[in-house]
Amino acid sequence: MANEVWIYAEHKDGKLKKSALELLSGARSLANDLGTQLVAVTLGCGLEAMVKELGAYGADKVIIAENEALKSYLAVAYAQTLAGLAKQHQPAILLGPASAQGKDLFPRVAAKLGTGMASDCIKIQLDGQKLLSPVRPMYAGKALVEANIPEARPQMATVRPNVLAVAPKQEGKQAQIEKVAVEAPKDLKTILKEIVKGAKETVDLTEATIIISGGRAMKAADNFKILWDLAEVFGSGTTVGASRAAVDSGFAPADMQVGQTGKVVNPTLYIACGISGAIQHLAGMRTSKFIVAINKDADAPIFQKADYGIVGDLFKVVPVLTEEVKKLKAQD
Amino acid sequence: MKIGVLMKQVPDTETKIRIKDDASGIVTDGIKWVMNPYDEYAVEEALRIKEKKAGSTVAIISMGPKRSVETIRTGLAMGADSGILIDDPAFEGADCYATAKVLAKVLEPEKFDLLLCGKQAIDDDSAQVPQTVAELLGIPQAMVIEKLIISDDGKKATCYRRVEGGAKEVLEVELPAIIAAEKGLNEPRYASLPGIMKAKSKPMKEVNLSTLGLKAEEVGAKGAKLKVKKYSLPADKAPGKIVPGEPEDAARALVKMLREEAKVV
Amino acid sequence: MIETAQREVFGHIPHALEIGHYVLSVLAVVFLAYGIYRRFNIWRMGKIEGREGAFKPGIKGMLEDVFLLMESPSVMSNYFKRLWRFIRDGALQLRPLRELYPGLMHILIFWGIAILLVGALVDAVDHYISLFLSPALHFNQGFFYIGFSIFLEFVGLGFVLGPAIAIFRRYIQRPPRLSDTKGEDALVLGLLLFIAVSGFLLEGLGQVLDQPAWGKWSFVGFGIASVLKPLGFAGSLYVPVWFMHQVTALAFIAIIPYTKLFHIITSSMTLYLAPVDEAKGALSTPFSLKEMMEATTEVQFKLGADRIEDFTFSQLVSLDGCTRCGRCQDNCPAHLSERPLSPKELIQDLKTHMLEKAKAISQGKEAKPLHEEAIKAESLWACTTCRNCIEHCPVGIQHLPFIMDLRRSLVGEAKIDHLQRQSLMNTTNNYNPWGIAFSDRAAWAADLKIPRAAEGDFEYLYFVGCAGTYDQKAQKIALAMVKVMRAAGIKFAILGEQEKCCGEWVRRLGDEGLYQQLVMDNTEVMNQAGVKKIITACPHCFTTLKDEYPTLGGKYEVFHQSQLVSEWVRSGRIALKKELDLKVAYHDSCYLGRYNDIYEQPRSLIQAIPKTQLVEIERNHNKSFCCGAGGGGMWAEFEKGRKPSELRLEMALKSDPGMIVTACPYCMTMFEDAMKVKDIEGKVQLKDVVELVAEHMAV
Repeated sequence: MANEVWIYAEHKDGKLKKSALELLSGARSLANDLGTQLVAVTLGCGLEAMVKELGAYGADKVIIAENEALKSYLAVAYAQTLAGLAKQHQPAILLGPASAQGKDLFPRVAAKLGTGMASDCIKIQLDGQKLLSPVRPMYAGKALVEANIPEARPQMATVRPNVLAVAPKQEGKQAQIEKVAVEAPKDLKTILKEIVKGAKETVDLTEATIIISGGRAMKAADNFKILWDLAEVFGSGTTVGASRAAVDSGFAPADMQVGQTGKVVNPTLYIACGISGAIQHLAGMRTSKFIVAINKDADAPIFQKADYGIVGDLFKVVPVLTEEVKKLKAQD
Repeated sequence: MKIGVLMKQVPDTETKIRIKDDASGIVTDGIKWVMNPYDEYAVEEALRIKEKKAGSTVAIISMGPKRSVETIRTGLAMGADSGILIDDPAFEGADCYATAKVLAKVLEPEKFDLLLCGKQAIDDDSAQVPQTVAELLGIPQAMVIEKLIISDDGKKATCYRRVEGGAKEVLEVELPAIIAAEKGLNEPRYASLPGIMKAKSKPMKEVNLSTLGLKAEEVGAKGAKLKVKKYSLPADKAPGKIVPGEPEDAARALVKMLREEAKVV
Repeated sequence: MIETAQREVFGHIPHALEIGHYVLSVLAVVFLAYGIYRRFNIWRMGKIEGREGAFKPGIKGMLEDVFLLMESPSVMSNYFKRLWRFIRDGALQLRPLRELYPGLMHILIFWGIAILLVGALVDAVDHYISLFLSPALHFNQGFFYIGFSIFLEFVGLGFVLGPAIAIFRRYIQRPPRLSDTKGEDALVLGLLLFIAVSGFLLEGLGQVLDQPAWGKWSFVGFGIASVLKPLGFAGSLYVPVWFMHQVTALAFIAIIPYTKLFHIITSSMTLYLAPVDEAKGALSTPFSLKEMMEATTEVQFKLGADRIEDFTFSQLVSLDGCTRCGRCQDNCPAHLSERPLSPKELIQDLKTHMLEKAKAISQGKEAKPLHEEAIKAESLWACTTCRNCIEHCPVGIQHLPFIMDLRRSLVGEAKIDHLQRQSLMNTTNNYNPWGIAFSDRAAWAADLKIPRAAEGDFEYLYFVGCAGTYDQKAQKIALAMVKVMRAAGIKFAILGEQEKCCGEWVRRLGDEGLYQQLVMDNTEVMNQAGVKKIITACPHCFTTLKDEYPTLGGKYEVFHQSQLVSEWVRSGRIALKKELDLKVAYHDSCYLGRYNDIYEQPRSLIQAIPKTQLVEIERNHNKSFCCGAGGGGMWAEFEKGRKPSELRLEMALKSDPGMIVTACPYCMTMFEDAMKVKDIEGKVQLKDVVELVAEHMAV
């Protein structure tokens, strides 16, 4: 059946990624509006058990493209297979996650299909002509653009993870599962040699998504432990930084320094603990997407840059933060 | 090795973006145009390979208006050997597909052994052109690479690709391939202004619609598959606020706000 | 009897020895001349106005170059100023005397040799005119002879004392700055002491032989004679001692160009050749970016120095002018904070490289490269451009132009680290080192309704600078100055969004191209707005706008804000009425002090506040110790050594101030960091002098 709405269900280590559920939840209304089926497509081998729950999240059908050669992800291989399926089934819409894999794969699939694609969308919707009309950020989020793909098919888009809410699970709802034995992709010219696991402690400041930084008010090197504790509960992608004064005082090594003469960082969340916010520090973290400041001195310049501030003793605030975040993460 | 670097001129990251009255695009007055930061890593990596492999050449290829010449010259001043500017009014308004199509047309006869580029341009943030070009040229791709090793015979590249959670995929691709640089691949070198002036004497080729033998319908806005409907500005960021209360209470409130309002936790 | 007092030249000396003495004298002079000739050829490796540097030894080339030098404006200009400096600092030794102990030591040797040489000359002249012209012309006798002898006796004593002190200082006291003692130091000092002692000995032995009635006037000789006379053989020692004295004295002359004694010539030359510009901090302009931009064909230029030949003749002379006295390093903030730089070693390394390169070229060999082999980049980057080395060099060596030209070539070859590149890229793209949006340049003044220069009627342009614009701490200084200017009824304007970084640190980091671009942009805007007078908040903007912009098309009357505010206070336009019962320590900024000799105006402002007590920090005025921010230090981290700012804060705290006052936003930032580390934030206040004025004026 043509004109279906497809979502690409990414999986890792035998588990579906949360993005698959998000995409299903977000695309369900598109399929409803278009009066068509919502199909989840997944590639690999031995995936039956994994895809069972997709029905409960809104999939009418699941297509499993199976081949031993698809066991691990490779852009060229996956693109051949996914484009082949799309050519065969002619879906109207093909959505994927803007994850490392989705960002890698989808443009190549679009190229194979000669169609257009919108990257990293933060909103998916249909316009008056029932065309997919996603909204995506540009200029690092400083502008938004709405676009559509009037002619070429399928209409492709990748959607930023964590943007679409996962709909409540509908227990008992089952999707039709269609297992397709696909040909082994050929002419790959690429080999996946290995996957090097990322160790938590090696997250570089410049790569971190959450940074907790300590200043001179940390008072001693040992006290940085409370920041590391907080980082620990935030999970992977989180690390601890320091101000120049903290580094100069010997509380932290030089490679932890954030600022003009240290590292320039750009995390999603930056928590400045006991940092006054001198220009040399601000220069290194002012482009962080969200800034939290904890400082005893209400006049500290950091508060002018912060989205949220707490005027108070960091030694009282930080442990509570750790406790609360831990609770929150336990619920997730 | 014959190395090509795909480079784009983009507005500086500090640019205040303003939208045209008719929402058809951004206002380009008063913008400081710079080399796309990820492309700087690509240029640098190309130069490092060139320095290691005798007889290598590096060409900078950029599609964009005439002003892009300045940025190509920055690449030449860094040490690249030649530049290709792809400029034609017909190319304006292209989406990634239409852009890649023109690039592929330019690249095909050049027979580069290796193509390098940035993982994305920081203006449209699409991150699609490298993969699309790779597909159109029928060559492999390695995106988001933070470490690159070219084999001694110049036939293969080992690429460390960053994926989620700090993990890295180690890919071995046959060359020619497109390899897209991530931050951290290297530390790009500085091109001083006199060096940029001096680079005026390096060869710079300009190509356009007719020299490429393309039709106006298949490129630019007309050839775009993804059509822009309108640009807008995001809602203003809320002004900073102090979470009131005793430190412990404020901390509890803060976590709640981070989850519910800011959605960053 | 006294009327007949005299001494016979060559008395008791056999005729053959007398002739031998003449032969040796000629030989000594030949050695001396050859040594100078050889070195002159090496200095000619350097650039001379009108030609590039290259090593082409030979008499013909030398003569050509001498003519070029005679026409060279940097050599042949400001004769009177140069002459006066030469007399003051060279002949009168006022510069070496700035440090009393080594200065006295040196003056004893210097004046000892000079006067004793005159003494010998008087002897010689007297001898020859009475010999060849007429005995009637014989004047060195009688009262003149006695008086002159007594004088020389004292000088001679000093000449014994001088080398003795030097030996004591170098070999027993061993101050750190003399850590590089070499064999030649012992040779030269030994020689000097021997000449001095043997001179007296000779005098004593002469008295033993002649027993002149007037002998007691030469009291040292007389004393020696009275000791030696009882030894019967003393008289027979006269001739051998005379011979040794002569030989060592002639050897002294002969070895001048081959040992540190060469400084007698080279330091004099250095002192003469040192620049005499009023704008002492201005750097050279090696090319014009504007011409380069307008040129249709490729412009040939050289970015700084990566070969010894890229320095000038005068600079190469100055390498030989260095006496290794170590005053530069004793005042160098980089050296004192254990960073890898000693200005003395830098000059010595360049000198060694110059000699090695000349040798290598003449042997047809490849010389080792200047960068990294001879001079380490880390030394060059350690410099804060504070000018202390130049300020305290007794012979006028200009260390900074060497460092700047070496940095320029490093930048040209992209040999800079990522922090430096980041600051330069930020400035390229957003015209400030932090990379904050240029469109926010006037945000600090958003609510102040300050007219823009482009629109307004104004007397002064207030050039705020990057710090005053973007740094919240320095913004307070700018806001204070606005308040003060308004109180003083000054008509002023700002450039607003059109202001760009002045480029001072960019130039001193070695990026001449970006510097000139910034100057072009700023001058274009300022010239269009008809700017005549500029007030700067920052001593760095002040220095470059005042001293360096004029050569690139921006001629203005430029003031640092502390200058004008002190004038307004002095003239009563601003009254400082509010009391401040506090000890206030003033820290001299390098670029205000040593670069521009502004020491007293900021102090006068502190003193003008009722009840305030101004205290001095050790190393003040022209000895002030740099905070570490200059020359790009603000944008760098050093792996080695301590932070100059912390050392400086420690010095400041010794004077137990309640407040530290600066007049430079760079110093302010550095102190701010140091105060955090020392955990005295809030305990000792930190303010700019204009903030202090704004807070204590009567409104």
